[in-house]
Amino acid sequence: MSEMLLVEVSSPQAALQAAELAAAGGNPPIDVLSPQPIKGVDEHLAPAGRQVSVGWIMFIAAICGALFGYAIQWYSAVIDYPILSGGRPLNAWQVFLIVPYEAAILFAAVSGFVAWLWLCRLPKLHHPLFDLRLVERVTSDRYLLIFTGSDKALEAVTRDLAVLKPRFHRPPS
Amino acid sequence: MPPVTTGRVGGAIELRRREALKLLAAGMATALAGCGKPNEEIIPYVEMPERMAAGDPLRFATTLALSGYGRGVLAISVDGRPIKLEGNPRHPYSMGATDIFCEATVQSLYDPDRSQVARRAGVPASWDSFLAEWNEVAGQARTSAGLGLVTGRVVSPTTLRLISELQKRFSSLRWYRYEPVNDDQARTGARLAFGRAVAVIPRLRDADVVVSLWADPLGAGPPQLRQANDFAHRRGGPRPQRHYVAEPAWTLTGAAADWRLPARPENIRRIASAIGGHLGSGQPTMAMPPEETAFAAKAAADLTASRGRALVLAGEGMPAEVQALCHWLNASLGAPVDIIADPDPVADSHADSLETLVRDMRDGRLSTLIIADANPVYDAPDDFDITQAFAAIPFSVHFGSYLDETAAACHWHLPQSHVLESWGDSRAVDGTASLIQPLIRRLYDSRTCDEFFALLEGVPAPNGRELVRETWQAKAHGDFEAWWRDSLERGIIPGSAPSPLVIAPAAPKPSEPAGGPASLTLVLGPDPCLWDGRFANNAWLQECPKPFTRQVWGNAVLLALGDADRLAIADGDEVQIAVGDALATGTALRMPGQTTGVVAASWGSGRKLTGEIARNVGDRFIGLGSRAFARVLVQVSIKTTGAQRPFYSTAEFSRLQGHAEELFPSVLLAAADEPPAKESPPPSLLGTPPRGDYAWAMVIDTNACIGCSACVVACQAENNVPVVGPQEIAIGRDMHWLRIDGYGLPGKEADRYGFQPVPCMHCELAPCEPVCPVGASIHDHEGLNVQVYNRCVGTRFCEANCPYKVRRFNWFAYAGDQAYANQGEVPMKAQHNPDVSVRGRGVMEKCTYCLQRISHARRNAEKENRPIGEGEVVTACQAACPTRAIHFGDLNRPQSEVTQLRQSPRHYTLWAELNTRPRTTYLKRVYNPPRSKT
Amino acid sequence: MSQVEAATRRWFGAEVASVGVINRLVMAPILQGQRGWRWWAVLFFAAALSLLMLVTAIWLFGHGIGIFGNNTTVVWGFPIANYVWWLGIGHAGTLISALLLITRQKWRASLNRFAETMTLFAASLAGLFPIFHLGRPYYLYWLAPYPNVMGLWPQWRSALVWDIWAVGTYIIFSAVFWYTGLVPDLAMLRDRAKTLWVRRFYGVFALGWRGSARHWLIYERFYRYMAAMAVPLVVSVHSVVSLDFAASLEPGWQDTIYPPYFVIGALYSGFAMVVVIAGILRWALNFQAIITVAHFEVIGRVLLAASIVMGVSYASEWFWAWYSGARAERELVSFLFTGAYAPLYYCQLLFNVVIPQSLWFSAIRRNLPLLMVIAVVINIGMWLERILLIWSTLGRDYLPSMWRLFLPSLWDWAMLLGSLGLFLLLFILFVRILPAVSAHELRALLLEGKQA
Repeated sequence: MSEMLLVEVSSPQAALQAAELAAAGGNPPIDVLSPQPIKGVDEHLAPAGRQVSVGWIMFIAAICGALFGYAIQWYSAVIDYPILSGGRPLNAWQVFLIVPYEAAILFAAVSGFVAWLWLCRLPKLHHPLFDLRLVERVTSDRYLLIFTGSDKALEAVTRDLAVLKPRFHRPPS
Repeated sequence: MPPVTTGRVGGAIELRRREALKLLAAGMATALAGCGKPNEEIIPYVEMPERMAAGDPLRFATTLALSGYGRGVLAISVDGRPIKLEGNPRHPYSMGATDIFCEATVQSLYDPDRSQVARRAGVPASWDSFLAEWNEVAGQARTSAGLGLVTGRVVSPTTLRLISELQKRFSSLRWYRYEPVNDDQARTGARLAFGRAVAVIPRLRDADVVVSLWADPLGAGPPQLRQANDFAHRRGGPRPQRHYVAEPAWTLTGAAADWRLPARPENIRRIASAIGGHLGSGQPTMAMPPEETAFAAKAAADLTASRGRALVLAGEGMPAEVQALCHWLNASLGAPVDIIADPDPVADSHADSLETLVRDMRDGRLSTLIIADANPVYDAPDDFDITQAFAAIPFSVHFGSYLDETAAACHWHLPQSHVLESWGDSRAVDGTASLIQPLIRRLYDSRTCDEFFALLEGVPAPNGRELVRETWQAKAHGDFEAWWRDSLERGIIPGSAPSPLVIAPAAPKPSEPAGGPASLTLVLGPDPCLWDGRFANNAWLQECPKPFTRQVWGNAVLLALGDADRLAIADGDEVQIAVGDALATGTALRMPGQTTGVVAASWGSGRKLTGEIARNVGDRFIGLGSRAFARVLVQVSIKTTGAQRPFYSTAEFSRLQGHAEELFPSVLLAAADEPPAKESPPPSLLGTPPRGDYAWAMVIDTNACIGCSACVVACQAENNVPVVGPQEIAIGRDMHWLRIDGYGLPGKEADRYGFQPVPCMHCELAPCEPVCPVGASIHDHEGLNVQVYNRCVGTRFCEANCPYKVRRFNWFAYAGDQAYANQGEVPMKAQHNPDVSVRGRGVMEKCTYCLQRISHARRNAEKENRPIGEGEVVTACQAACPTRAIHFGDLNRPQSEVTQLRQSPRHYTLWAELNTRPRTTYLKRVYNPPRSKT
Repeated sequence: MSQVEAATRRWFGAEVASVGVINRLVMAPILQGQRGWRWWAVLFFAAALSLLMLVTAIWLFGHGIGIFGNNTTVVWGFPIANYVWWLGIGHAGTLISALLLITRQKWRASLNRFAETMTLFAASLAGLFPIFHLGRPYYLYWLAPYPNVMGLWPQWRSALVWDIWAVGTYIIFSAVFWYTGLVPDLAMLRDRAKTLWVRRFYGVFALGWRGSARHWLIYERFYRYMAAMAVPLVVSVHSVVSLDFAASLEPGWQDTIYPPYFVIGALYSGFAMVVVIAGILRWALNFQAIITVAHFEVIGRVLLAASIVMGVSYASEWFWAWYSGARAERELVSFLFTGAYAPLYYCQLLFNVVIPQSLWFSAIRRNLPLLMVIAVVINIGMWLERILLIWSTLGRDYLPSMWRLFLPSLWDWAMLLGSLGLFLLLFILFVRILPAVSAHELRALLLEGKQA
């Protein structure tokens, strides 16, 4: 039967330390909520499932965009609707490079945005944590480490982090 | 049409138009319902083909008169609507070509401003009520004196017959006939020389040397087409002519000259006598500037050197004795001239006729006045105070096509039928007679001049056709019906030209031109586009750029640079001209190459009445001077009023000094045949585009082009090119698909000027095509650069990227509900060529090489499954050109004219270095000056 | 105080002691901002001008493109110049936010948000002008590739089609980039909102962001990749725009220098606009502490550099015209200096090259009012550059018989002023609804300093 422990600190350094200590104690936090990114904190989080890299998704999308951009030009200008225009060749590849370039960036940007939301499982307008008033400040100036586990484990965490004198919360489960 | 509220396109005249429409709605409706073939049988120019489908154009030969003299035309008619006029090759004064007046005639046929109903004191009335009133008047008129008839020049056999019958019926009838643009000096000169009324007709074709003393054989006028044709025949030919021209202000002949001398009128007279002196006429040689002396000497030498093929021409600006002298010179040179009995039977001079008319009106000698197709109120000098004189006439009738100044002064106005609605006949300058047949049923309740005279005579319901047949039944021999049919078919009456007379001129009397201090001289003459003002309500002609100035919608007071600087007058200044106590204001324009001390202006503008198009456009100068139609006025003073006038022109620069080397190259005759450095197109990564079955191309010979603008108006008529109006011109917008650029030649602006018609170049590597985002500007397989109107979205990238700027954009719906003035009204639409789509707002358009004509030829060729033959496609501009300067054909044929011309040493391409590979190319201008001048 | 801290402190006013101060400053205009009469006055003024633009557009579609001053020869006019000008202004936003991010410029944090907003608005406005410019605007969609019964496609060799793709991509890209950066601040607004509805409003757009470390990880990667793409994109966009001219046959247009010349020009006018906006925001929203004189000082240097590049570009145009010996090119240049537009051209040179040289002096760079005046002057100069580019070349190309001048109509001016009004309107609404500077990035910067 799993309980939840929230540890609230007021500086990024404290949050990082707390994560380190807890991880060292064998009970890494499952997540850390912070108003701005904390460099390196993710190394101390409880391991999560392997995730696709947003970079790869954007890269693939860019390639597709470029191919699409050229393909539609080639098909329409050479196959479907060939017209004489200023003596230019039907497949004027030199100028047909511009559209693929832009299309690549467009596809990458849009798919990257979608990927980001998807990987973060956003939008998720309501989250159980939002029921706790104290969560309201993690978007401006508070830092919250989230632990779950058995009572024993959480006690251990409380002990390990006592040195930092954080505020502990045990939300009623 | 809904009002156009931009205030740019005709917004102002909305209200008036409404009223007019309300008033004439009924007439208009019936008119268009009745729009169709005339009731009587009319005969097509060529035999009607078998199984002719509706919509196929038919050609009918008929005749258009300019100042009385006829020019044969072929009217193209679709389903009973004449839509275009072309020249009649069989007619000696058309030679298959047209001038701008012929081309613009269809516009005037459908002009909504044409008078449509009879009016009494301005109120719509009926012909019957007029006849009722007339019969009373006629009753007294037959007994009592005082019946006057005013007409223009009449050479039409039928009209002459009817007038003489009128004279029989009304013994007291006084006939006054006058033309503002007349030949008084020539006729008087001829009488001086030959002792009788003869017309002397030069044969330019047979002359090697032509000396024009302010004569303008190539300028607008009844003989223009013939003389231009002769001129071109010699210019292209093996033994080119040499033209000497002495003139005070620019004329088309001056521009074509090999040696043009700007000279003051009195000096030109001195030149005349000097030449006379050289050729032993016993004329005293008089002091004159060195250039004049040299000119005279050289000209005289050249004339004598080529006796039998030398010609001296004197213009209307030259007094009778100079004309007489020229006749003597020509006789002694054995010059190629024909002398015929004057086709104009009236003895007294035009100026006199008008003056007598006014005097008689004043002295109360006229109780009844009938004015047929003349406009004395506009034409007469201000001194005559003619409106006053009109007030004294108890019963006055105006018969004409418009409610003009004279109509307003008369009790009655009666509408005249348009020539394309009329039966009739006419004579050309050389006396060749031809018939006039109608192309369309009368749009309104109007009468032809013949019918009107017959009515006055008392004929109950005269029929124009019958009147003409009556005239000719007597003359024609053999089977009359066959003769009639034949004459209508050919468009001329064979053997109707009088045979030349053989008479010698008397020796000229020595004459000394009126000396006195060299004063500022005003030279006047007909407007190149509006003639004497009768075409003033024709929007095409108002918007046809005038040669040398590219001015439209108005006329200018042209000043020599020297005078302009001296008087501190700049372009666009409003100036006041004072001659005696007569005053006129005008818009000043500085004119390089005009003789210092000479101011030039034209008649025909400044109409106060007529229609929306003509009203208050330009200034009236015909009122100046104490003698009617004087072409030279001395002791003129001119000053700026301080005001500025808008100057409407289609070119910021009317003459392009310093560019001619590349853009308008010319060669001396001596060097004309040397092949130039072989002009091979610059290399291109793109290679040459594929060629289809045909490769259409155009070659324009700038050496033959005389700048008459016929091609411009022809293109407008053929391709439904709309008029934009002065406000749009002022912004810099125009729609002509074909323009004529004028170049003052390097270093010789004063005496050399060249014309270069610029249609679309139809580039093989067209810059306008790849920039179009929707492929509206594309190339077809016959090498045409075509514009797909309904695909165009109006980015205007094509025009931006066109080095020749030949594309035109519909900023507004010029051809639709935003048309200028009356151009959008119902009758106008009837003129549209059904084979050419009318372009809407927001699309680009341009020259198509008359694509519709190409497809027409292709249809015919495919019916007989054969290729399109050489010369089978004739573009509108090409057809119009009186000098045949425009050549069109297929580059795929090695033997075709264009292929040949492209080999010519004179051949060149406009901006070849841009590597656009134009299909429209040019031939250089050739100069043939006498040795000393080279 | 450590070196790093000094480096970061430099970009903050003294009173910025903690992240709390930053949060308060940034949120103040939105959550407890009281709208004074000044704000209402500006709002009214901007709305009036926007209305003028609307009226002009309606009149334009009703009566046709002819209401503008364009003529047969100078077929392009204000709309194209406005298009290039607005788009150019947009570029600075992307460059500040992306280029400075990649190059780790600390001064970026307090500028990027409103700079990106400027980009978004300017680019969208720019996107309108080609539509206004069309003879038949209702067929704009014919430039897009879509299967249709007519069986027609766009003509891909046309620079205008490239424009559609470049500008379209640019606008969408900027919107995504801008919104992504906004999400954490929206979350903060959600959590600090007083009333339920405000909370819901921001909540919806915050997408449920809660600052999870795992989210931050992906967020930062994505954001950096976007920044990395933004730079080549922004360079390509104005290069493509320059091809509208450079890919032609016209004298003065067909120059290989055009793409870089346009991109720098864009950056130039954009940074100038940033100065103006920053100056106003700083005063209007009391951002003295987070938009410091130091920021203006460094932008002043960018302007100076750009002005020199512009000068060189102009000079190279003259040189090549002379060196090529091409008559049309030479005539064009002599027309620039002696023709009807010469006074305007001299203004252009004065505004874009001469006056900005005063920025060599840090005293002037640090003098806000003066700097803002110079910025406005530069923007005027850049607009002149764009309009003269069109007027001179089109009005003076190969055949002198078609040389013509351009007379702007009242509608031309109405459209230009209207667009400025609409820009202003959008902006003052923006500062009341969204944080004009990025709170989370400022916090990060501040803490980065403290940490060290």
